[in-house]
Amino acid sequence: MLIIEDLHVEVDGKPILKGIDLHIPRGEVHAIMGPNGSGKSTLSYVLAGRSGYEVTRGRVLFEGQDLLEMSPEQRAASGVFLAFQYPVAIPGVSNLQFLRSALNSVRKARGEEELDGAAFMKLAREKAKLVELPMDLMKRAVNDGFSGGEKKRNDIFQMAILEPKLCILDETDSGLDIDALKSVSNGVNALRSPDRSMLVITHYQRLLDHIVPDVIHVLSGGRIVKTGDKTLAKRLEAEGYAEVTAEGAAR
Amino acid sequence: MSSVIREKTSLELAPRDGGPAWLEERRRAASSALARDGFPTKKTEAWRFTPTRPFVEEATQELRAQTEEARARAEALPRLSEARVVLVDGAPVSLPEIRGVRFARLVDALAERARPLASLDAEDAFARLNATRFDDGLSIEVSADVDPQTVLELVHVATSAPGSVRYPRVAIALAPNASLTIVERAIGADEPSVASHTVVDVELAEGARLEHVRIGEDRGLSTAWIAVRAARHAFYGSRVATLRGRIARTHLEVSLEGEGAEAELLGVYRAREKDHLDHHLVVHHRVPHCTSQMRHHGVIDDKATAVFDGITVVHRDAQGTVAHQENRNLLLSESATVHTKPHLEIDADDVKCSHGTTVGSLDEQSLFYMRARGIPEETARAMLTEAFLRAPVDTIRDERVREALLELVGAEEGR
Repeated sequence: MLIIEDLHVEVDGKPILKGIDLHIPRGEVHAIMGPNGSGKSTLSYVLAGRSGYEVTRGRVLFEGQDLLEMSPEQRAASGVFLAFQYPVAIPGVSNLQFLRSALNSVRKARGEEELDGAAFMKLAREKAKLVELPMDLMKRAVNDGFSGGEKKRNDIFQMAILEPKLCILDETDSGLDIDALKSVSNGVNALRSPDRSMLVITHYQRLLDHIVPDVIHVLSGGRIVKTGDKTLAKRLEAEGYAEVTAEGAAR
Repeated sequence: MSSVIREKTSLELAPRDGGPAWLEERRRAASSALARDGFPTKKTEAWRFTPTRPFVEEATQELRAQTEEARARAEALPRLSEARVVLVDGAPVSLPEIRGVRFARLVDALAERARPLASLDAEDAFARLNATRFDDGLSIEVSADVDPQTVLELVHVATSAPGSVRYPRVAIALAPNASLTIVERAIGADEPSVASHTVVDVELAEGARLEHVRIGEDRGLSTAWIAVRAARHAFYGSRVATLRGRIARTHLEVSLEGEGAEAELLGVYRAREKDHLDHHLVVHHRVPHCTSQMRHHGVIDDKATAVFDGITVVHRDAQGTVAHQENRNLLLSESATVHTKPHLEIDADDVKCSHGTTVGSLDEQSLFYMRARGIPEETARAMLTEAFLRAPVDTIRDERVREALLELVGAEEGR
């Protein structure tokens, strides 16, 4: 589904990613863990197509296509979804208007028929249950005045509506209390499927207790320094990044 | 000071006859003031950023002939209300029957008045020009019998004769506790050298409430001078939407003259191509415990220019004044310009006043968020721009007017 080869990325002339290789097969959930400043968020933004990130080397293939050549909206239409670390508030644009416009843009780009108001509302109601998102939040402006947990739930709700093929979750656990973490994780788990891959980016192990990955990668200094199964998270928690990173670098 | 301009122009500056003696006297005064001071230049503070030459030099042919062409354009406009008055070159074409509302020819109505109209004292060249040269206009008197849900629509349209000028004048008076919505639409003409100099007087008696919507879609040259006097506990709600204009200047002068009077001045402007949209707002707090709010949001695109000048004057006796000014601008192009100057002049000590202004571009984070959800960039920009303009419009009380205005703002974005 996703193949990243030797990816080098600079921000303002400063190298951040220094040769990432990553392969996520269809249906697998991969986690990237790493200390602050290791390049985790840069990787997620580069995959989603945010401007300001210069790819100096390497390539990214998404279902055989060159992802880096596509605009953010083209990536969304072809099935890439980024759940933001800090979902953006957009005063004056209602959540429903925003999402219906997003869904219909994506459907149109895929050559599917656009949904009318009634069909969209039915879908929205159904998916809102998944993340326990109250309907009144959907009528409000996008993330405007939402709590941290509500914003994250809203992002996962959007994910449920858009049904992407690749979900990138950037620090989805940040700013969540344990109850919100559970409901967000439940929403994500409900979307796991043999046709859908996920890339879960996190600093802490606790999210991976709820969203259990198939593979864990450790990102440090702009490179993946270690790859292992889900037990790697426990080791990182117990021994710390420094220990594991040093071991990786020594190889 | 501008004798050069006066020599070049053939604008008629002699006072017109007709009406009561006090009116003739005011017309003469306005005429001689105009002859003395001439038209403003960039050295005149209130006209620093807005050129007056096109008004003075290009549009000099007075026109009062009502043409079918202009009338048909006005009639083609979708109605915002069942009660509509079309004014062609300043003259009303037909008058509807509405309970509690009395229409009259302005000159006839003025003959019965003791107190002159506030606008006749305006020290603005184009308000003086209107005072000197207006032929007739419309008087609207509203009694407390009016249904507060009433929406009265006035459509100003101009004949498309290049170089023509007209002087529409409307006087609105609300009796104590009368309440309604008046929507004025200026569609002008599709001709850049067609000018209108409009003057509107609004008098609100004790407890009267007026929601005054003004929609400007005149692509030519226009000035409007709106003079408002509000008595005790009266409410004046201005909702101005200026959507086009080669040069469109709106001056709103509000005088809060009775305790507890309130002015809520909301507006949006949307300048594109080479539009020049200028909004001047002045609120006088003359007595204690009045409230005023200015809130204007503008979007400026292409090579367009916008001017916002808001002045709140708190006079010495106006203790307990609450006043707020806000002007926010969104620049969509490198060549777009905005001049914004909200300011307060405070002579009382127990007041609560604030002002703020912003000039910015579309938020990149919001744009990326929307695009990352699949919304194409163009659509995302249009949605964000509409959202920015939406805030002041959302407060309009009448749903039909509010929806129509949102659609106008939205339709503009969709182009």
